[in-house]
Order: sequence, then structure tokens, then C-alpha cells
Amino acid sequence: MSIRTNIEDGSGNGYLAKVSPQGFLYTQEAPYPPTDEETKITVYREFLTLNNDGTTTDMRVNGSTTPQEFYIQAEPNVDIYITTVSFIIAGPGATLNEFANLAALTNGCRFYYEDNNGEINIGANLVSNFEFVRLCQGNPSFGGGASAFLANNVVGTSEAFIPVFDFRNFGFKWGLKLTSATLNRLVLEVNDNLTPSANLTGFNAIAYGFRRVLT
Amino acid sequence: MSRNGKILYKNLSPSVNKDGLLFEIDSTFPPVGEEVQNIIYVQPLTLNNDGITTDMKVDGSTTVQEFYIESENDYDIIINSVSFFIGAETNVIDLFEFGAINGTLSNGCQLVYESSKYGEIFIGDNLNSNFELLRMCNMNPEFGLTSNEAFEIVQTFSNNDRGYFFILKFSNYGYESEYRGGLRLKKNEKERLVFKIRDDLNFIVSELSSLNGTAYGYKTVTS
Repeated sequence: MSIRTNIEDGSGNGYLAKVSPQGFLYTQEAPYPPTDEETKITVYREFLTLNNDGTTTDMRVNGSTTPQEFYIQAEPNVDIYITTVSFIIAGPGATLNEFANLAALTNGCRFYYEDNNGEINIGANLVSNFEFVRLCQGNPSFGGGASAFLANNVVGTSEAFIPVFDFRNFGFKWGLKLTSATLNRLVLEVNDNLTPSANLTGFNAIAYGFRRVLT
Repeated sequence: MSRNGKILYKNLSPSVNKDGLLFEIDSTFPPVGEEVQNIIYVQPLTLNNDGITTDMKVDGSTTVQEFYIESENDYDIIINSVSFFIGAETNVIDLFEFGAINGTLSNGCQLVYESSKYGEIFIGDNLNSNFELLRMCNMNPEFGLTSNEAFEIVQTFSNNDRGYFFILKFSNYGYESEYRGGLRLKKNEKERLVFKIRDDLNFIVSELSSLNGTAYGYKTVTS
């Protein structure tokens, strides 16, 4: 048999926590964050770089023979949570059915992550600007008609599509976790010849989120 | 009979105010040692869930044609959103048309959640124009500089097309928008999210060049 107990105010004034007729415990959330959390989170902002070299952010490379991988990876002592990934695909006069201002790609890029479940495709056959925009669920939405989702003068005088992939739109409340001391990684794979040209003036990606410092 | 008790942590105890409200505070970081893991889920709606046929330009006038995703054996699937693209190779496209078909469809499409437990739940019915698709998606995403080009995009799949790109977010229907939210396709149960074609959509490309849909969400893995 259970002991019936009221929850009483800690300061001793005798107030008891209420339960609604429908069985809900009444609570009131603090209007400020906790003051004595021992776990710290710090901002994470990193480009996806070639083989995670930390240097090569320009994804305009030739991946037609050997796929080229741009990625970020888990770190030894912190959990990383990726909330968003910002892409730039720039080319003068770019339209949605192109990749930058190139014809739609043959193979397309692949965006995936790798954890204990293996390789999980987020987007494959990303052959055009629209496929990136769609993968990012039209985020951010602006412009209209021929200028829908297209920003002017992003790389010099080149227009660019600037979609932002938000893991929170996919049910990941805190973002994608790259667990500490694992080989978890988030990868953009280039599978076509994307060497720099007048029609492809920029292509890179930045991951945003936070590190949770483990205590 | 009940006793009064205090929740204690060391010598600290939470407050209860005179309205009977127990004070609580949320952490600013995710829990350590989560037991439930999410796997991202992105799948196009395909004909009879064949995993290949994404093009919804089919003849559903005699036999209804179904493009769907369905529950899997190992995981619950939670669908947060579904994106649709509809377009035609034309200079002018309007919201009252379906693609650029001048005149609405006779039967219209349907978006249906099917469950062995709950039967058919219609999310969209008589979807016979671009506007009805847009409306089902709660006018999302919102863009367009002028009323003439509201919600309209061009050159999406070809140099000559115009179309609409709509995203249905289940959070707009009241599903929790954070990590639990979305339409659930429960594992081991015959649950489906189906887009049904009930007209002959074999139109020439100047009337309808593209119609397709993709579902987004996650699967849950319990360790």
C-alpha cells in the first residue's frame, strides 16, 4: 500500500501543491535559467572542411572520380549538438533548377551523418539548388518568382542560394548529437566535378550548435 | 488520510506558492545518458511505396493511385512535415489552377493518414487547385514580393517551369513542435500517410510538369 503524501512548500508556510481535477500537477516555470548548473554549454561554429582538415572550406572540388568528403567530427571530451547547417551555393544568374549557375549535376551531393546506426542519409542526389532548398524546407523563405530564395551579391556580384538546414525541424530538440570520443560525423559529400568556375563562385557549409562540456 | 511531505535535495526544498503551484525550472542543456535515439527520416512519397516512382503525374481517374510512406517493423516514424512541389512549363501560373490546368480537377487529390486503429483521417480532401494545396499547408512557407508572385517559384526543374512549393508542418495542426511532435507511424502497425490521385493527371507539360511530395521527420530507437 502506498503512503499518501502532499507536497508542501519548502519554506514552511504550509502551502500544498495542487492537482487539477483532471489529474495534472500545477507547476510554475522559472522565468530565468538555473543559476547553479554544473554542466556548461559553449557555442559551436565550424565549417565543414575537406577530410575534416580544419582548413579547406571551399567545396568547389572535383569529386567525380573519388568522392570528396567535407565534414565535422565528434571531439574527445565534449558532446557536440548541431542545430543548423548554413549552405552557400553561389553563381551569377543562378536559378533553382541549376547547381549554382551550372547545369544540374549528374550525381549530386550527399548530405549524411554517421553514428552507431551507420550512415544515415539526410539528402542524396542533391543535384540542383532546389534540392538543397527543399531539403532545408524552404528555410529561410524570401523573395518571390524568379528571385525566390535567391539573394543578390553574396559572393562578389554573384547571386546565391543560402538555405539553412535546421535539425530542430526534424524532431531533434537539441540538434544532432556527435557523441564525445566517438567517430560520429556530419558529412557533405561531393560526387561531381565542382572545380571553381565563373558559374560556381562559392560553395561551402557552416555547422552551428553547442558543445556540452562533460563534468 | 495523507501526510504532508517536502521534496528534498540536500537541505533544499522547492517552493509552493499560495495558488498551489510547485516551482520548477528547466535545464538549459540536453539530458546526459539519453536512452532514446533519433534517426533522421527523409522519404519521398512513392507509388505503392515502391521507393522509386515519385512522379505523381499518373491516371487515377479509374483506379485511385496511391503515393505513400508506411510504418516500419523496427522503429516508430514521426513525420514533422511534408513538402509538395507542383509546377508546369508555362509563363503564367495561378493559385486557382492545379499546376497550370485551366480549371480545377473533378475529384481532387487527398492526403490521408490511415491507421488500423483509427481508420482514415483526412488531412486534405478535394485538393483540386494550387490554392487548396497551399491552404492545407497553412500557407507555408510564406514569401513573394507581390501578390502576382505570392508563393510562386520559377525554374525549379526546367528552364521554363513555374510552380508552387508548399510545406505541411504538423506543428501547425497542434502537434508538439519540439522533439516529440509529429504524426506517428507506429511500428508493426499498418499505418500510412497517403497522397491519393483521383483524376487523370497525364497532362502536357505546359499544364502540369511536376507533382511530388517528400516526408521529413525521424525514427526513434530505444536502446
